[in-house]
Amino acid sequence: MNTYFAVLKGGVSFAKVSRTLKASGIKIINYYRKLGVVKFETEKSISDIDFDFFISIEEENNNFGI
Amino acid sequence: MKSNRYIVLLDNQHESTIRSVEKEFAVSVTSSELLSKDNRSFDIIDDSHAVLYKNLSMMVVDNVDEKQLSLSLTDKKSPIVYFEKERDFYVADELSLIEELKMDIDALKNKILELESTIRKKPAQQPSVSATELEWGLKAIGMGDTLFSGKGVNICILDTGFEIQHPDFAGREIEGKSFIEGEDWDRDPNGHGTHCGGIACGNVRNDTGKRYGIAKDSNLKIGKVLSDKGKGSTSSIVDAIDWAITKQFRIISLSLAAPAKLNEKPSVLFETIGKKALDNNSLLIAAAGNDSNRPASLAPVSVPANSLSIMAVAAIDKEMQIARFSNAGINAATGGNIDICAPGVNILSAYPQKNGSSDNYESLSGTSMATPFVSGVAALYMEQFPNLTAREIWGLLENNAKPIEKLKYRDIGKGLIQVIK
Repeated sequence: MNTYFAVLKGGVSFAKVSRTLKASGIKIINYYRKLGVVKFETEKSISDIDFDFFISIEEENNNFGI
Repeated sequence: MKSNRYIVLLDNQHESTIRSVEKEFAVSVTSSELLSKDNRSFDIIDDSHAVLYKNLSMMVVDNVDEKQLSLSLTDKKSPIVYFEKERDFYVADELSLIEELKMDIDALKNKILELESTIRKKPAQQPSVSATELEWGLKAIGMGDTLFSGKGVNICILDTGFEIQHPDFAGREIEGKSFIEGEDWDRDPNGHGTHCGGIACGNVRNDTGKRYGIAKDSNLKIGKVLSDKGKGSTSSIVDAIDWAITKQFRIISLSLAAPAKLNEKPSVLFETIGKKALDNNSLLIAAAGNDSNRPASLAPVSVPANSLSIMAVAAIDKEMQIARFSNAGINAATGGNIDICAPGVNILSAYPQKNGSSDNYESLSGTSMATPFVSGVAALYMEQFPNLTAREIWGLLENNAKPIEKLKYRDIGKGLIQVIK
């Protein structure tokens, strides 16, 4: 299972995004309303995800350090 | 000779009144009508003789009891309505006045000579110095004379946590949250977060009194986004930034980084988060990264500092040289510039005690150390200019930065962060 962060396009309703992602079997982990970002989990590759709602989709990076 | 005569005013000059005064003060009163060049007042007035100036209702007496005169004023039956001691008057002799002025000038000349001699003997005046000794980094950013302490400004340190038992922070109200499963925010076995928090929000060492912290009266907020091993993920960082923005913390300090590749485009995610933070009046300040090995190799600014909406901080040393490890703005085509620099080599700050040691301090190096310098100074600016937005504070930080001779924009951005005098 991969974790992704997607930046929502301006004016896009999260409710609509949520319905679409759930219908595609994608699990929404968090919606950061103030940031306009959706965090979700899926086994699909990024290319299979509908990009129409999003400016970008980035995979979780575990490489942050001091 | 000092006169002991009194001028006494009477409310009337009746014969009976004069007699009562003569009786009360045991004097014989002579009317001024009887005075002549052969019978002058000063020849008459003595212990038992007074003169009454009839046109003035005024009497001059000598050596009377002043207490008795005072009691007469309150006695309704007494004709005495006022008295005062006779004053001395002198003739205004112009020549004697000039003589007096000459004496004054001579006295003044002597005073000037004395003062001049004292000043010449004093050592050359030294510039004023702060009473508290400062660590080198604080001197470099001009902390000495500031009147500001970050009072009321919320600084959020997103790092490995914070050792709240540290003696320098006893009594400080610290708010925090952990975004690392199974690890609390209020202890810091790693030490990195405590060190960064100490630089931004600390004050003086409890043993020597030497100052190492900047915004000593700011409100310290802790988000644990890195594990005790110093590792973190996008999830912990985004969760914590969202928390900090929701809590309306003005400054979010990120002494963390993930290496970026040459010509790598900045993350749209972090670019968006930085913009949203600024829109919410929060300033994100991040370490440029420590992947360079100068002069042989330069590494580009790391994630998330390479986002244009996040302030990227490079490190310099005490000799005003760029730190060997400090990353550079070499991804010019795709973004990722250095915005500013701060002290980041051999920086002393608060640290958790290790393995039974009683030492509460440690000296560390890194752009991680430079970052809280900028965060602390930003808090001083926010206290000084409470109506400025986070974007305006960013502009002010850059505009007040001091260029360093021979160092490039690529390495230090606008220059060394400075406290406003």
